[in-house]
Amino acid sequence: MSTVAAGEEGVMAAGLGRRLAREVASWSVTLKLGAVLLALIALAALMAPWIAPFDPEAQDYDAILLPPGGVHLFGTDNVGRDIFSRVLYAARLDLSAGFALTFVPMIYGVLIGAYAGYRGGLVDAVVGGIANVAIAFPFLVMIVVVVAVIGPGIDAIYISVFLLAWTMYARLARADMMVERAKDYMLAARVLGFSTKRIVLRHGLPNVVGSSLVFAMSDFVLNILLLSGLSFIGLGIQPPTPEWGAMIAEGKEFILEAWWISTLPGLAVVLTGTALSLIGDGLARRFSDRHGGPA
Amino acid sequence: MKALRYILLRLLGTLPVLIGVTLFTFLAIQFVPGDPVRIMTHGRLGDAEVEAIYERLGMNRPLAVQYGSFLVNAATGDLGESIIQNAPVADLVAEKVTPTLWLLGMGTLLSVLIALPLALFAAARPDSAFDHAVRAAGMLGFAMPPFWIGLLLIVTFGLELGWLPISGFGAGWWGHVVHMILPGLTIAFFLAPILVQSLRASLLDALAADHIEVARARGIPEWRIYLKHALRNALLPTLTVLAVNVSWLVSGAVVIESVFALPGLGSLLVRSVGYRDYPLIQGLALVFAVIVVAINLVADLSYGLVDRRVLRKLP
Amino acid sequence: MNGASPLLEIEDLSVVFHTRSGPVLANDGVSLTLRAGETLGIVGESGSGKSVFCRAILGLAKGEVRARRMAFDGRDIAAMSRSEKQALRGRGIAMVFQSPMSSLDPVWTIGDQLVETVRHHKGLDRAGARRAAIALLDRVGIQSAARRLDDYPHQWSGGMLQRAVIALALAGEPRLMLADEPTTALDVTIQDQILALLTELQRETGMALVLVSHDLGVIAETVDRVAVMYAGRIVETASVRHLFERPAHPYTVGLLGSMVGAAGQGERLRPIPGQPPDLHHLGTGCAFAPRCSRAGDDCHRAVPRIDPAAAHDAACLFPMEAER
Repeated sequence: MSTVAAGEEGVMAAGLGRRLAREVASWSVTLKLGAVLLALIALAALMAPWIAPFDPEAQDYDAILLPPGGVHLFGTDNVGRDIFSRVLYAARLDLSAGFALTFVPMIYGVLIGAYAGYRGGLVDAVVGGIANVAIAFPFLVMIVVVVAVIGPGIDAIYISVFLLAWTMYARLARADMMVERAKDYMLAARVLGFSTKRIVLRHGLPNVVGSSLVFAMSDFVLNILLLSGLSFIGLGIQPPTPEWGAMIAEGKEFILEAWWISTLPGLAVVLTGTALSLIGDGLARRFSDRHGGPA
Repeated sequence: MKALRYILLRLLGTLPVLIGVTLFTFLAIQFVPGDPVRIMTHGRLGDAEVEAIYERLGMNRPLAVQYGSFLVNAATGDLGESIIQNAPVADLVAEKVTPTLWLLGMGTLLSVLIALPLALFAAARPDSAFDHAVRAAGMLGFAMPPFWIGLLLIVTFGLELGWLPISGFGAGWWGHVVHMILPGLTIAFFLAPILVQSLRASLLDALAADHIEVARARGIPEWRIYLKHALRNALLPTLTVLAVNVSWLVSGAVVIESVFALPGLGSLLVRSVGYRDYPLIQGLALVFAVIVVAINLVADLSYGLVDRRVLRKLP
Repeated sequence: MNGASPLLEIEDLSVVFHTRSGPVLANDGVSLTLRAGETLGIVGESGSGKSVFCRAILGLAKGEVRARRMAFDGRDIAAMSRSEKQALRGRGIAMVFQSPMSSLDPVWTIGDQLVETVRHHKGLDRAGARRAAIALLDRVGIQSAARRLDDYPHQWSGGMLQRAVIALALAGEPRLMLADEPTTALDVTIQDQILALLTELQRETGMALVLVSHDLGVIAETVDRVAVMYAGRIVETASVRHLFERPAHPYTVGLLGSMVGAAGQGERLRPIPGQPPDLHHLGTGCAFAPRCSRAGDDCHRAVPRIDPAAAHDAACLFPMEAER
C-alpha cells in the first residue's frame, strides 16, 4: 500500500517536474536571466553568515580605508569594517524588507480590488475613491511623518507602506476584474450559482493577478530604493546595522579617497533592481502572450 | 463653457487628496508618545509655559475642532506656527519652496528631453538593436538609487571634471539653471526610463490605429504621420503615466535635495523631523500634497488640451 | 474594349502573410485590368481578400506582395521607390475605408487633416489650403462647411465622417478611387447617400472607381463591372447585367441566391452550405470545391485561370453557362 502511494507520489512529482521544466522552457531570455540573477543574490543573502569573511559590524583600526582586493574583497570603510561582508548582510535586510513591503500589501490589495471590481456599486466606489486619493499621496513624505512620530527605523516604513501601497494593487485588480466580470465564463459561474467568494477567488483571481505581479516587480525595486533612500537621509535603518542606502551615506564623506565604500553597495542595489526589472519585463511579455498578443 | 467646468471639476477632485494627506498627518501626530510640546521644546520649559503654548496653539481643544481650524486656516494661507523656530510655517515654507520647484521642473524637463528622442527612435524600429539597448539602459537607470547616481554625478562632473557646481542653489536665473543640471539629471535617471517605456508602448499602439493607415493612404509622408499623428495620440497615456509617478518624483526630490545640499522643502522636512517640529511637519505634508496635486492638475488639463474628447466625457 | 492602355493592370498578384501558424495566402494569382473612368465592384465574403487587394495596390499591405505585373497608368508599381509609391497615394490612387469613425485622427480637427492633405498634394499656403478644404467639404455635401471645419471627428456623425474621408481622398484629385466597404459601418439610410455621392463624384471627375463590398446589392447599383472574389482568388468577372442574368461560377450563384431581394417572392434565401476555407491550407484545386454541389474530382486538383481581358469569364471547370 505504502509503496503504491509512494509510486503515485513519484509520478505526481515527475509530472510536476515536467510541468515546471516546460514552464521554464517557455520563459523569455530576460525572464530566465532575471530569475537566475535574483536567485543568486537571494542565495548569497541567505548564506551570508557562512559566506561573509568578517563580522559586518566589527571595526578594525589596522585596516582602515583599504581598497578592494586581497582579504577584503570589496575593501574596508573608515572604521575598518569589511565592505563585502556588510554588503552581504545588507542584502538580507534589503531583500526581505523589500519582499514584505511589496507582497504583503499586494495580497490584500488584489483581494480588495478584485472584490470591489466584481461587486461594483458602493463597495467599488469606496475602494476606487480611496485608491484614487492614495495614489496622489507623496509617499516618502508620509513615511517621514510617521518617522517623526515613532522615530527612525524600518517600522515607520512598514506602517506607512502597509497603509497606502495596497491601493495600487487594488486599482489594477479592480480594473482587470471589471473586464473579467463581463466575460462569458464569469456569467456561466454566476448562472451556476457559485458563491461570490468562489467566483472571485477561484475564477477571477487567476486572471487578474497578472498585472499586479508585473507591477510588483517594479514596486519591489521602488521599495528597496525607498528603504535605502530613507536610510541614506538618516531616517531609515540606523548605523551600524548594514543596509545598502545607509552604507552609501557612510561612504559619502570619503567618496574621493575611497570610492568603494559608496559605489559597491550602490552596485548591489543596481544588480538587484535589474534582476527584478528583467523578471518584470519577462512576466509582462508572458502575460501579454497568453492573452493573445499580436500574431 | 465646457473647459471651465472641466477645470473646476478637476480642482474639486483634488480636495479629497488634500484632506486625506492632512488627516493622515494630523492623526499620526496624535500618536506621538508623551507630550509633543515638551518633546518639541526638549523639556526646557516649566508646566506653566507648556500650558501657555497649548493655549496659544489651540491644542487643548477637541481634535475635530483642531483639525477643522487647521483646514480653515490653511485655506487662507496660514499653516500654523513653528514653536522651535518661532516663525509662521507659511514663511518657512515660502523661503524654501523655490529650489524644490526648480528641481522638479528641471528634473521633468531633462527627463522629457532625454526620453522623447529615445522613445521615438526605439518605437520607429521595434525589436531593433537600438530598441533593446534603450530598454536595457532603462532597466539599469530605473534600478539605480537616485542618491547614489547623484553621488556619482557629483564625483564625475563636479569633482573630477569640475564642469558643474555640486551643491547649493546658485544665484540668479542662470545660476539656478546651472546648479540644477546635476540634480535634474539625477531625477532623469529614474523618470526618463519610465517615460521611455510608456511612450514607446503608446507609440506602437498609436501606430496600429486605423487612422494612421488612412493617413498613409492619402499620401502623408511617414515622418509626418509619426511626429504629428502617432506622437500626439501617444502623449495621452504617457501624460497619465507621468501623473501616476508624480508622488515618486516628489519623494525622489526630497532625497536628492539632501545629496546636493539644496535649501529646499525636502531638506527642511528632514530637519524638522530631527527637531520634532510637528506644526512644521504638518504644514510641509500639506505643501507637498499641494505640489503633487498641482502637477497632476497640470497633467490633467494638458490632457484635455491634447484630446478634446476628454471634455465630452464630463458627467 | 477600346485600344487605350489600361489605368490599372494587375497580373498574378499574390499576398502572403507570414504568421506564427504558418503562411496565409490572402491573395492568390489575382489578375485585373481597369480602364480610366471605369467602375468595378469587387464582391466576396469577409476574409476573401478584397481589402488586402486594395492595400496591396497602394503598397500598404502588411504581408509579402508578389506580382508578375502591377502597373498604374503604364508605370510599374513594383519598381517604384518608396517616395514614388508615396507620391502615388492620394494623387494617383486614393482610398476610402470601412470605418469612418476610426478613419480620422481623433486629436486633430477635421480641418487640420484636410489642410494637411491639400497642402501636401497641392503645395498651397495655409490660407489657400483652408479655402480648398472648405470647397472639398462643400463638394461632398457638408452643410456650412466653413463653420464645421474646426470640429473634431467625435463631433460628427458616421455619415458626415465618411463624407469627410471621401473629401480627404478627393484632395489629391486621384484618377482611381478604391472604396473598401465604404457603407458597411453606416445606417441603411445613410448608405444610399454615400453611394450616390461616390457615383456622382465619379461621373463628375471621370476617375475610375473600385467599390469593394460583401453586398451584391450595393455593388449592383453603383458599378458597371464586377469581380467575384473567393478565398483570395477572383472566381468570376462580368458586367453587372451578365453577372445577375447569367452567373457562371457556382459560388456566384450561391451568392446571388443568398441575397435579399434576388430570391423571388415567396422563395426562401438559400445560404451557401459549409464554411469559408482556411487560408492556411489551400490546395492547388478550386477553393470552393468542398462547398460546391457540381464539383468533380478534377476540381480538387486544378483550377482554371481566369482571363482578365475577357468580358465574362469564370474560374470553373463546370460553369453554369454550359447548361444554358
